Amino acid sequence: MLPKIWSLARLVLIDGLRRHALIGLILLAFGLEVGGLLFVDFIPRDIGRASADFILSVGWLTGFLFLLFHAVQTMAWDEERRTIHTILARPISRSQYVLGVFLGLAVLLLLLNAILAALGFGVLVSIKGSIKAVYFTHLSLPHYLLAWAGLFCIELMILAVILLFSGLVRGGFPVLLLTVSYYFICTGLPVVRDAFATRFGEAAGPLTTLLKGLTMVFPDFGRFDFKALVTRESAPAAIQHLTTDLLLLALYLTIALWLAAMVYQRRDLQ
Amino acid sequence: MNRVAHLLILPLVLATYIGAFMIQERLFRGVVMELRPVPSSRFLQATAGYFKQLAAEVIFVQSGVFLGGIDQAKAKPVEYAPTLTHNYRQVTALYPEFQDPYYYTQAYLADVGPEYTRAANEILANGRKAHPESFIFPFFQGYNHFSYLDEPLEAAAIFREVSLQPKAPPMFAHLAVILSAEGGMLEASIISLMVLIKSTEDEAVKQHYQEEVAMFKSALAVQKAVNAFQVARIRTPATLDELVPEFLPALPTFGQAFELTWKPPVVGLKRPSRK
Repeated sequence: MLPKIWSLARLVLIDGLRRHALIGLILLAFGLEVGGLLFVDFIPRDIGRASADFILSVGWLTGFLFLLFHAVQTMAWDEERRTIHTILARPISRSQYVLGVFLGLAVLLLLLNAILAALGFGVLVSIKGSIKAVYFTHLSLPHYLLAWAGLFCIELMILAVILLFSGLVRGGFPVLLLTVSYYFICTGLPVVRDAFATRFGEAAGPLTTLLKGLTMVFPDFGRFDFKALVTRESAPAAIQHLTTDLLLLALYLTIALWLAAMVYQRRDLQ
Repeated sequence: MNRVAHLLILPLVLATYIGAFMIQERLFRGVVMELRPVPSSRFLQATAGYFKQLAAEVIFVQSGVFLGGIDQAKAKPVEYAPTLTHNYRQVTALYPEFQDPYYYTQAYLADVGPEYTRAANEILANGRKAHPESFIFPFFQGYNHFSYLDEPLEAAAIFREVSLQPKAPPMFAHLAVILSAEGGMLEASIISLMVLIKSTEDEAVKQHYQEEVAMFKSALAVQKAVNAFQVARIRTPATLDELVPEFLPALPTFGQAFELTWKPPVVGLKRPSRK
């Protein structure tokens, strides 16, 4: 089973490289990071923090573009160009197809993040070397890697959901719209929950329970946002919940991909 | 016809475009720079998502560009202070770890007026929560209390709280003592100074504190004389000179170190260099 999934993943990976999905985004990100050096000039004191935020924000923008304009399109192209028929004509099940595409796109994302993280770290080191220590007191490599890992986790969740949406609706544009909606619900829901908690306290009314239930479907991406740690020496309490967060991520991905596989099993591909 | 269009009409359209562009540029230069209030931090958090930190930094940069671009001689801080306060509240709520807005709050809002000093202290409270290890933000808060709001006891309370932190410079404990004395809490100040004497190793500093204890005790004697005056005359003295000679042989003097303050019915001590 695994060799079949990996073979398909390799196809997706090579196809992505052939379509310049990585190189284009890397050039864009590099251009933004260089432009960002001008932005950092406007920050008088907390330069280290602002630089790290900027590098990771560029990484997020690039990853999001990849998800919306490459991952969504990859799924749509497979159907529009009937590549999916060619693939499924081989001894490969629809579940293996879903897992193979997910793995291929996830590896592409990992490559993209790894290259951007390396470039970004170089930019941060050069900024740190060019200013007084008081403006950039600490640059933690483990925390920096953790921040990128958190970013990758968010991207994986969105990728899994894109696969599910691609099974549920036809065409790239509706999937793109659904993905954007999903993302905004995920970012808005914690704010709504916080507003309710502030207003009504911790008392769990039906609405509070509903909001909590919705967060299971639309996870709080903020739990994987470790940007603030990059310039910190010590790791605060957020890092202690990392194991739970990772377990939750693994289960979320499993459920989303399982559902996507079920949808593809029943889907009429004609 | 096509060639005529290319040769005549296109240059005309291009020339019109350049002309319109130049007019727009001139109009833009004439526009007075304005600071616009940003949406609430909750809205920004919901819409910006992973970019929330960057959004906070961009809003801060906008305020910095505005402050750098205004004519300091003509601009009235009270006109832009409400928007600036609102924006810094949102920025610090959205991204409390980002330190620059706290420095700008202190620099541009704290001295505008009492309302803004209190707002500045509320904003600085976000900074204290996000950076409990920092001594700068509580120092700003305390400074604002005693310098702009004339609330030495509130300042003393903040400095005393900070002085209890393990790595706090001894300056905070001493500032708390001095400001408590200015607020009239002379007995508490004496006790705190005695504690400082016990905890310091430096002989010169110890000597300095002992001299201050002696001065605080003299001021406390004046307070006791005031209390005796009130019991005897059933009113507070209009000035401290009224105490002499019946209730006090003479008013103590403190050289360059302190001077007596009289905010009926409380006697205090303050540094003479301050207004």
